[in-house]
Amino acid sequence: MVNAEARFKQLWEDFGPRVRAKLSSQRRTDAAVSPEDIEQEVYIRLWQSLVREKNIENPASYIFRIVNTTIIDAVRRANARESSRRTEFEVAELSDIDGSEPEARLERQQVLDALDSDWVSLSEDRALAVKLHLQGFTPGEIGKLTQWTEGRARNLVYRGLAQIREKLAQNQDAGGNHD
Amino acid sequence: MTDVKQLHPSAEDLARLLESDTSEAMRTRLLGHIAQCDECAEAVRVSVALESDAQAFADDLAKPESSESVPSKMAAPWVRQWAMAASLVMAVAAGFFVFQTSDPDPVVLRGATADVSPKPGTTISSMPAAFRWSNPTPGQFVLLDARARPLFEATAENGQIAVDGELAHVLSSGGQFLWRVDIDGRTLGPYPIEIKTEN
Repeated sequence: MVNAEARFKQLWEDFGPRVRAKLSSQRRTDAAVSPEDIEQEVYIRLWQSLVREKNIENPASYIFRIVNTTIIDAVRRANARESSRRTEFEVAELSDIDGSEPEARLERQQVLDALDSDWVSLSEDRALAVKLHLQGFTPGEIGKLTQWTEGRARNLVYRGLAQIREKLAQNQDAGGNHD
Repeated sequence: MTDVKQLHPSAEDLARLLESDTSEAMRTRLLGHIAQCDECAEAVRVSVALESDAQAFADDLAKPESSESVPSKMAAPWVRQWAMAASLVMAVAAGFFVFQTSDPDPVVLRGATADVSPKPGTTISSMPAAFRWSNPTPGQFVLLDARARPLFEATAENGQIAVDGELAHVLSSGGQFLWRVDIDGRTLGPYPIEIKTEN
């Protein structure tokens, strides 16, 4: 038992900072709830979950599920707390200091508008790949989630973006309005 | 992408997506949500990025343990501090590894099954008058912070310890705590509580 307890603490001391590091790389620098806060919440919730659970048939899979659900809940709760704290004005201000370049944000918005419009008709897979790409997923991660290969995911993103940019360029050349 | 009004999928469903444990229809629905919802996308992104670390964590934690002697409470301070933190983890692991044991003992009230106060897992707005548990045998009450670092320790009798003096001072700032009682080498708890003060 002592080995198990020591292992738990030892493993958390390794895993906890990894959670924090990933959060740090994924979150806005101005986020009201810090990666450290979320890491602590993950620790507590994971701990509570493990205390409650008994008679587990497949412990590795079960712990993995607990870890995933706990992280997902903790991140979403942090986002919900931030949303409730901020007024629309503050959110508008934050959108200007979210760390991304204005040009990149403008292009992202243009691509999103194009995806929502009916004048760029992407295939379902291309549209999904582009949307996930805009949400910050890498081709490998998109492939993992969609059960495509990484190469297929990369191609769908690349071709989808190219198709949208081509349409946008045509639109600008024509000076048209597709709203 | 921030104005998604539909209900968020459950964390369980998103976890199933990560583990490729969904039907195709559900996967399509979940991916459609993630594609439009910044909050869920961030949560999934972090989890995906941590996948190999989380799997290794789960695999290692699930490995069978072996027996080993518990460090004595008379040991050096650093050893004792380690033992206290470890005993918390032991209680966590106990709830988790119970499937491996054949030692059901009603005295050892693991997890959240005991008749204790404050109720485990609750959030309270002010300090409790006392911590109470159902076993009157003298024991060692230990308060820890959310990361299992000991904050306060005292001998307790009659199944309770009053919140005053140093214990009140420690709790006064509020926050998330864990507490347990060591009785005859066995552990009652640990239990989580959160105290949200006005300040």
